[in-house]
Amino acid sequence: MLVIRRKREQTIRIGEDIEITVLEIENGQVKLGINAPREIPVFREEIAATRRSNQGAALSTSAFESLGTYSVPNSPTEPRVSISNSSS
Amino acid sequence: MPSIETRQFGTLVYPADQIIHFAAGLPGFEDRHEFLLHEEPALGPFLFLQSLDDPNLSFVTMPAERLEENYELTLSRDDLAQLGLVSLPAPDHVYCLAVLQLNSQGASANLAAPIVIYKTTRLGTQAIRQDRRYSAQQPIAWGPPAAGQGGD
Repeated sequence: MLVIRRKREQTIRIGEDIEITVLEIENGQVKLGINAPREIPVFREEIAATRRSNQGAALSTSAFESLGTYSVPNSPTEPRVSISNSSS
Repeated sequence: MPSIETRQFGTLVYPADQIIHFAAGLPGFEDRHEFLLHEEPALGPFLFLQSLDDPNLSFVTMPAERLEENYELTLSRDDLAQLGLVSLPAPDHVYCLAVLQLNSQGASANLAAPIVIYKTTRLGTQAIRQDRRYSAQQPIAWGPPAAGQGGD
């Protein structure tokens, strides 16, 4: 991996058309500005990972048939989900 | 009532108000917008997310809190907008479902990107977490033994 140190408002260029600028560094978060041609998709890695995960999860017939062999435990207490806000 | 001929569940007849709309689709399936949440009587806690745009596409899911006690769902402002909300909903007003991945290596659950459905509007989104608190491939211990292991 190529490692480059940059400060706020400094830019990295990838090829002729892609430009990544460090806009802000705060509380362990970096805000980046990206200029790229329309045909180049730019997205967070988590989205790419979720895409791969979903594609692997689309239910096949053999996977569906295997579900009958699962022994799902009963939940001893009523489990709960809580909800919080993320800052981004 | 509308119906759909599915690969896994045969013909499903459903009231139109049961349709769940995913405005942005799901990552990897961005052009699939309408789904049904389907239960199979013999397969208790599993919930199936069946695409209405593609009869061959479905996912097996399970409420996240059944896989991880006291699961904490985190929603971003974007997630809320996708659900048609301006503030956090009450926990019992949403489904929070982990997508299960079943293959010959065993079973795992994606707790890092739960499917969230707001029951009132029937709008859904996949809420991808920004933190690393939960795994995208949480192993499921009570699945069948992985192929090649154990057996008689």
